[in-house]
Amino acid sequence: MDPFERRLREDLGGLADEGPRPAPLSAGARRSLRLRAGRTATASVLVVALLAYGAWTGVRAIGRSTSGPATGEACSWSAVPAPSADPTRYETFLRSVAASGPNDAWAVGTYNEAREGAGSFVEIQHWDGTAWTEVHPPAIETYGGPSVTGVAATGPDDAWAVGFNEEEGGGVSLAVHWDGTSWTSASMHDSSLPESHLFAVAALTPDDYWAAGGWAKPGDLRGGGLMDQWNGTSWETATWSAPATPHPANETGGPYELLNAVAGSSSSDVWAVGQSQDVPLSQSRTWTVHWDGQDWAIVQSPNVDPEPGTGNVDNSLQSVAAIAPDDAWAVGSYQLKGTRLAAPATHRPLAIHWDGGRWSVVPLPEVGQGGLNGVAAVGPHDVWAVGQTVENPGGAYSVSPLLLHWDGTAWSRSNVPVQGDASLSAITAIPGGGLWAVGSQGSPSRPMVLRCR
Amino acid sequence: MAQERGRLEELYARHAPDAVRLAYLLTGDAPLAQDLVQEAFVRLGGRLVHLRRPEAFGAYLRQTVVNLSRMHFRRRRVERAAMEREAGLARAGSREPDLAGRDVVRQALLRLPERQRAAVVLRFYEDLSDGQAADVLRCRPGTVASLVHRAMQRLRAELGPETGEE
Repeated sequence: MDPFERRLREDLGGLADEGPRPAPLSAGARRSLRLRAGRTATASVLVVALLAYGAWTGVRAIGRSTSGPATGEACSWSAVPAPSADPTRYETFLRSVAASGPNDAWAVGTYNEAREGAGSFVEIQHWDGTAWTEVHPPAIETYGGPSVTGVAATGPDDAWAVGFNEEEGGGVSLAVHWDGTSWTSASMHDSSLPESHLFAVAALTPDDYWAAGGWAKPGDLRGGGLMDQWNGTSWETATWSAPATPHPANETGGPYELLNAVAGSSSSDVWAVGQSQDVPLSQSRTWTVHWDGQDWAIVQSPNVDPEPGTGNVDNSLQSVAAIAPDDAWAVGSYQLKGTRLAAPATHRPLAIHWDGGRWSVVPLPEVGQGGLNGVAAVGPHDVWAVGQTVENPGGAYSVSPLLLHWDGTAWSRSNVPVQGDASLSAITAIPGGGLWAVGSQGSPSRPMVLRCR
Repeated sequence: MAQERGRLEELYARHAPDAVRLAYLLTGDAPLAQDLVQEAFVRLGGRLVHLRRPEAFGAYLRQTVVNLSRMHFRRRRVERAAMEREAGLARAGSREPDLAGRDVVRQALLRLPERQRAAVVLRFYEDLSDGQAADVLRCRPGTVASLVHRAMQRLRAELGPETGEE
């Protein structure tokens, strides 16, 4: 570093020291927090959230392709063309994928104008056995834009997609249904929650879907996991009988428990996974809950500690695959080091396995920094996980897609048939054979769809 | 109620000092920096959206502080133009004279165009990469590099003799 730059860094630090201390929170600020941030806030916060999420999933990155050995895989991956909203004007992000058979698959996400303050729109694409095409999304009255983050299907005339709608008062759970002809918006049962978001949905039968997410009380720094069940007629919010996650004594807020994913091997074996965060220490621990057909129960799950003395425990789970009552996988990331600014590049991929008695951390191949966003099982000896790796050479950070395979014995890295910057956000097994994986590539972001066949 | 207030105070106490330092470097104005951080905090305070990525509250607060200070400068440009028209002034008056020491740096920083200043502060104070700063400023990493390059040329020219020495 040249002396001038070093001196400037010191001077900036010194200048900041000479600056003011924070003023006490004003009465007006407190009141606003209670009444929830004003109308201008809603849209800007959403943009910030999308931006940060986009950054994490590699949407804005400059990257390179990955390569590695393929081991014992029953299928091989190739890219499949997918449409996108006018790429000169819009960025498109695919968040979730589901398939009910070889000729019926859905990919959902959002698209938005690539500019400050732009609202988002729902993106829905369908595979009919020949090609992916865009499908007209349902009409949704909105303030800051709806987001659809999860999809599940049982057949060509039955699929649900879930997410949240930024209304003027905050986020509200959103569920939309495909009846074989069109997508329509369903009313969510519980409107008493101050703010609620759904992030994922799993299909067991046309009369049994589970949606997972979270609720929050913004002024109170409290929140919790949210599970909604579709019983064939309406969505009902599950009540929790389980005790709250224990947190350290010095914690003053939270826990915020949040469920990012849900999957079941049957109507009496459903897992939802996410994380439990405290405030203000911003520690985050894996969080898993299990449905036995009668009740939801919190099940203890492991965490990976950061290097000693470098920061807080910061683990999260982004996806789950349920194979059998004694066989499930959950994936996400943990923080290797704590930093003041907590850049995402300090994270590493995380995979944990349920053997019927407990969850345990399973070693992954060394891939550097990154995280896993999706996991799907073809069978107990054929499990796939997707995500991204992050590199930060010389300041400009780059993101590459990450594809891992479990052969029953060990995880290994697989080739991704995409050149350039990209990341993978979700993966699903296709009934009848093969898998779909979706994500984003390029800048501005375009959809990316891969198939293993 | 009292306990809830305690939680808010705690979150604020934890994150506001860093945010105020950043706001002060971006604006050079102490009361404004305090106000911007309160506003940023109100905009973010405990909302669910920032919890999808649990590590991110500090990063969201930083993003919001940068956005608000840029909005402030945009607004002020408009106000100043109107005032100047009314007063028949050719240009804005100069700032108060230097006091001492680091104030030279502060003044030089404040003379930078707002985007260049934000880029320098994010790169050299917040220690972000070009890519991370580009996400905050909503531009390409190459643009951050060029903003920083131009800012450094200008700062070197203004500060070089005194500040560049070891």
